[in-house]
Amino acid sequence: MSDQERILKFQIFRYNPQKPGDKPRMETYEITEAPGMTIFIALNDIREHQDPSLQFDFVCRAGICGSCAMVINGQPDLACRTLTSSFEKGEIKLLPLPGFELIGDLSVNTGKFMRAMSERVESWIHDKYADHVNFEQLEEKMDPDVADEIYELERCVECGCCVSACATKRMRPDFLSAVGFMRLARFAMDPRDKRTNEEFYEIMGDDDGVFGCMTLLGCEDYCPKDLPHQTQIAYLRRKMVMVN
Amino acid sequence: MNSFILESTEKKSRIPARLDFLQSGTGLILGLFIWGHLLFDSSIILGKNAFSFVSKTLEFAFLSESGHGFPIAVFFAVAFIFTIFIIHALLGIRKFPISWKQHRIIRDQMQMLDHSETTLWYIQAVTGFFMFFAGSAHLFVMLFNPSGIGPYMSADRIVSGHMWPLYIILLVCVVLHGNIGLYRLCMKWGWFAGKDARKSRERLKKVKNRLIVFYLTIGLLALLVFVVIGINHRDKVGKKYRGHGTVIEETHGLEQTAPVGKSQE
Amino acid sequence: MKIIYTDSLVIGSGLAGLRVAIASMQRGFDTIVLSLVPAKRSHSAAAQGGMQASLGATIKGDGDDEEIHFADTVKGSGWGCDQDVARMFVNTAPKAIRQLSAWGVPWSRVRRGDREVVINGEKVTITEKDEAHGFITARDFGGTKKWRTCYTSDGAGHTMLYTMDNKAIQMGIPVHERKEAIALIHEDGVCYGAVVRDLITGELIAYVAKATTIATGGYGRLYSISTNAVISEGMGTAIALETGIAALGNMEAVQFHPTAIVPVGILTTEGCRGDGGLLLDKDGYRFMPDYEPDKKELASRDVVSRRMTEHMRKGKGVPSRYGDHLWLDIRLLGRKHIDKNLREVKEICEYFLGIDPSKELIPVRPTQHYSMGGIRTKATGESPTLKGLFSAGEAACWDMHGFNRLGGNSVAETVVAGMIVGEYVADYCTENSLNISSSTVESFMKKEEKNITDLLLRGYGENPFELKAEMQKIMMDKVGIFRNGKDLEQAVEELKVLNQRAKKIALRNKISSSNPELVEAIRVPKMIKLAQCVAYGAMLRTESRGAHSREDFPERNDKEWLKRTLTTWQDKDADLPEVTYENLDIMTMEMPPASRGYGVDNTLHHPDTAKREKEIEEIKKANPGADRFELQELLNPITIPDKFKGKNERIGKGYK
Ligand SMILES: Cc1cc2nc3c(=O)[nH]c(=O)nc-3n(C[C@H](O)[C@H](O)[C@H](O)COP(=O)(O)OP(=O)(O)OC[C@H]3O[C@@H](n4cnc5c(N)ncnc54)[C@H](O)[C@@H]3O)c2cc1C
Ligand code: HEM
Ligand code: HEM
Ligand code: SF4
Ligand code: F3S
Ligand code: FES
Repeated sequence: MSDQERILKFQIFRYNPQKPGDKPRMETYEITEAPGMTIFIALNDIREHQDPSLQFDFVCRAGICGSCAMVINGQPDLACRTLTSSFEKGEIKLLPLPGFELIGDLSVNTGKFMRAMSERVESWIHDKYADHVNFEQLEEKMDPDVADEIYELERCVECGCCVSACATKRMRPDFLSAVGFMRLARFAMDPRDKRTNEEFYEIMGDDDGVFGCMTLLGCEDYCPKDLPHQTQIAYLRRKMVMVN
Repeated sequence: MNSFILESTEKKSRIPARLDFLQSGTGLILGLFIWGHLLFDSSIILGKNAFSFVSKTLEFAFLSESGHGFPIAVFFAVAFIFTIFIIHALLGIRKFPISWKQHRIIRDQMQMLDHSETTLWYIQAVTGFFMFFAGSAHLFVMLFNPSGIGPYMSADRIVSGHMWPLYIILLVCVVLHGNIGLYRLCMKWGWFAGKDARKSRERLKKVKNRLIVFYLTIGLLALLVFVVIGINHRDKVGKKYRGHGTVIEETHGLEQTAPVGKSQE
Repeated sequence: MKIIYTDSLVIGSGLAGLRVAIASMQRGFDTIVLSLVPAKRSHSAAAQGGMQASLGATIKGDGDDEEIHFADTVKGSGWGCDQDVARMFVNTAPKAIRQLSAWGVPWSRVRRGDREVVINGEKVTITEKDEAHGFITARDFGGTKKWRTCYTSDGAGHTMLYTMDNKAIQMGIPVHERKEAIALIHEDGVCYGAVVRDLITGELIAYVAKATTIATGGYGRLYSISTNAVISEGMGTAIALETGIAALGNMEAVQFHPTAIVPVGILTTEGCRGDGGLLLDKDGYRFMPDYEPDKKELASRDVVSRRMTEHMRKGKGVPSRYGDHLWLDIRLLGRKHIDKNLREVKEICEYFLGIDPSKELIPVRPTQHYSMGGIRTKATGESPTLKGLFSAGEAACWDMHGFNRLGGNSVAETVVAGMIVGEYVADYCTENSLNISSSTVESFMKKEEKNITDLLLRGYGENPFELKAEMQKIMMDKVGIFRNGKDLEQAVEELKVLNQRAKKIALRNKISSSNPELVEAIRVPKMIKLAQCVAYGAMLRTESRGAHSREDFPERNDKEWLKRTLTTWQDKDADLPEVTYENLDIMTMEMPPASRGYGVDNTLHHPDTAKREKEIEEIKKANPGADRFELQELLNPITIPDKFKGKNERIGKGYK
């Protein structure tokens, strides 16, 4: 870690819809960079020392909970794991994730969106017997590779980057979008979920579903967890187009 | 806890699936067609004979006794492609940012996010829009003048018929739209993904870029050749043509690609 | 005045809260869950290690059962836990994990055949049994005899929380997000819900319920440096304390982890040192051998944390803008090893430090990690003093961890407690009806409203961010890993002052709707009170037990201190909480106190210990034919909801 100090210039989107008469604007804040400073640290510093009204969301501040996604110099990403030192010019422009309800400043309501998504794709194991499992008995076996593959798709943290990076989603608000596809792919792969292709078609077989995806691949390119969106959406599309 | 949706709701229409499939299918046909088309068309670079040979062959001249071929074959081919073209275009329009608001959103999005793939799509939409007119015009000409294909007639059309600006636009549009489209088709359906889909994507992207450069080069060269021929032939527009350009100037083909200011006839 | 009625109100949507909500919903009660954040963002998602349950499918877990899990847990707790609860817990954990499996957690599975692993720094080949192929596997974790920690790659907590929330969504359980419970509503010793502030609109809402469950997680953020989420501020625990009726248990029991990175406090795994990493000071000097010539860097968690602190106090820490730290050096392991075996650490270094750990040193220091203390409950999860108030998860002192919890036992607790307490919550809802007068509700609302208005109207006063930072610093410096009478007394005094100052907070941003400063202003006074409970309890407890280690009283003193600290805050204007103690009765213990087996045994034993040991011997002798279940019944009869009474099947053993 080098100890040279420089002044960082943050341009931050400000708007509090709760406050009558407030207007969207960009405000500039300057702070002294410290070694190892992340945007999480910087924003808290600004809030504590310059502007106590600044709104943003952090929970784990370790890149695992997905709370802190925002548009950082034009890229949707997790702010907590973004080092200020990665910006050579020391200028950092922060915008809230587009495509979500704005709570205020950099805070958006991804939670509401994600719950609706989960309800829409019925993000749970569909098995009549799951609730009557005798859990004293040995659990059902599962191939170790299948378990690993499911985990790979379940790593999504519902941060919303893929949603914001998708122009399709922005143009068509009812579009299910990549996070939903990822969830569907995860359950489609799970042998415990007994849903048939026809049932999956009911969820995603239209232009608000997988056929509405225009393969813009923003999801693939901006997912901070590097989930395989392109291959999974293609897989769902192939699967769904075969349903008759 | 309704585990079984089918019991409670009606079946969802299968039409969106069919339309999506059709969009890709027509796109694929058109894309592959254009690959061939531009190659054949560029045979003019190799000389008028090469072009005549190609165009005649495509008219199945080798089957006809007179060696004139069957322009009707061209007619049907054009009609077929035109139909595909129309279907594809109509399906494509569904995806356009129809309202001003949607257009604003996508422009905003592109401004916020410097994302090449989104830009590619936008290019496709814009070029598709232009082709809707330019392509239709070209196809109309071909449809109603199926026997008018040959080095001179084509060249005259381009120069004296003032078609060249249209062709330049059309060329740029179709080369971009088609190759981007084919690349995106691979992404969309997961073709050629191989073991490491991300690496394959990089590879396919490179192939796409090279194809664009290649086709733009030969297309522009071909147009240039046509223009040169057309300028030289300006005073003889419409003459010397019997049916289809069975023009009799053999042999020197290869050497005469250069735009020397001398008419052959 | 907005009032929302429900049967079962659950505050907190982490693993524990959601599981309680599922249980009460399953029993047909109207249920609402409150949370500061969307459920899936709760801190349970951060658990990467895994969940303990004695399934014994992997070869290194062969022979594992409830008895061994029980023994590990009780030992780990420094005999400070409630053995009835530990019993309920170990018997139910296998069921919990199997239920989660049916609900969708993609637990990593046993793969038959040979596999290379590192044990004690050496490469060993182990061979998994054919018949175990496809069953849930487990990994090694500190303080356990068997490999018992079930996991999903590096995301156990994540997959568990996602599955749990998905189940809740399937059942239609409403989770009211971005809502903060700021006070409990109670009357005549019965709790009837909470006053809740909407963090977006600022509106106050009364949630009135038959049963209220607090599952708000730990209070790690009382410390300036914590591995916990920034929302782990102990708010649920604090509002229970503020009732003046509910008691908190063992608040001084706070666990530290040696190697979290600086400044952000994110955990780097113990595997770094396990594989041969070293700790260096500001001169690049390897200091651990000076303190612990035997085990060096590989001494146990609490020992290493203590030694590191000691060394930094000698001025050997590396100064930085964020305070002193030490270096973790894993360069010597080589890039290949790091890329392959310590991928997680490598990514943390890249993202959060911008360094390459195969070339550069990692700045680390001991960091607050887990809160054993919390709302004291009976084995049913209900507060012994405030009826209708339940608690589960890290927020509770259900007390299966005593003074030190084992890795992997915490997420297991959340789910198991969720199941068991959930049943008792439902029972409570069956047996009781709502009879609270609306004027009582109104008076609680009024009080909170007034508090907020006062904050907004006060012209000038204390800055809540500063108060919080001061409190966190006091806790870190004086109520940290290493404790001594002098520092603790100072801390208690200084916190008292902060408590007074916290009554005069004024805001710069004077709006009542979404306003981070106001949120802070509401929380900080409560946090200071909790800090006082921790510091005061630590000052009074003149012994060392588990994570509570007093330099001036290094021995575990069963004679005088085999008891649980209970803290209440009855007079809200008082400067300090009231502390009382609850004895742990050795004569009813299934496993009487013994040495934990680390270092020299300097325990001051209780006279009952020998008595009970003899008694147990006799019981065993008198029942020669008794199997382990019958024996347990004789030694430690427990009540457990019928649903969870059955025995657990294991491969090769059946239900034995
Ligand atoms: C980095 C890290 C790694 C860990 N790894 C492991 C591990 O490998 N194995 C293990 O067993 N344990 C591990 N633990 C511990 C374990 O993760 C936690 O103890 C456990 O998840 C706590 O769960 P919970 O349900 O009690 O609370 P949490 O998951 O913390 O949930 C608290 C909930 O309460 C809500 N809340 C808080 N205050 C309020 C309020 N005032 N009003 C309304 N809602 C409120 C929050 O929004 C949240 O939903 C780890 C902990 C950390 C920090
Ligand atoms: C009127 C003219 C045309 C219009 C309006 C048009 C429009 C579009 C649009 C909007 C798309 C994107 C569809 C999507 O993203 O889902 C598209 C895709 C495509 N177009 Fe065209 N297009 C036209 C002509 C052509 C021509 C002449 C070709 C041949 C080169 C072609 C080849 C393709 C291909 C290969 C695709 C990809 C198919 C897919 O994504 O499913 N298009 N077109
Ligand atoms: C079966 C249908 C088609 C036939 C028979 C046909 C035929 C021809 C011919 C003969 C030319 C040479 C110029 C001329 O004679 O005017 C030409 C050029 C061209 N055509 Fe087509 N065409 C067809 C379809 C299309 C379509 C669908 C497109 C794209 C939308 C297209 C794009 C072009 C372009 C860009 C050129 C100029 C190429 C150059 O020289 O650079 N054509 N076509
Ligand atoms: S898929 Fe990736 S980008 Fe999308 S919400 Fe999940 S983690 Fe975020
Ligand atoms: S960005 Fe959008 S259009 Fe499809 S490929 Fe991803 S969902
Ligand atoms: S705060 Fe959790 S991912 Fe950034």
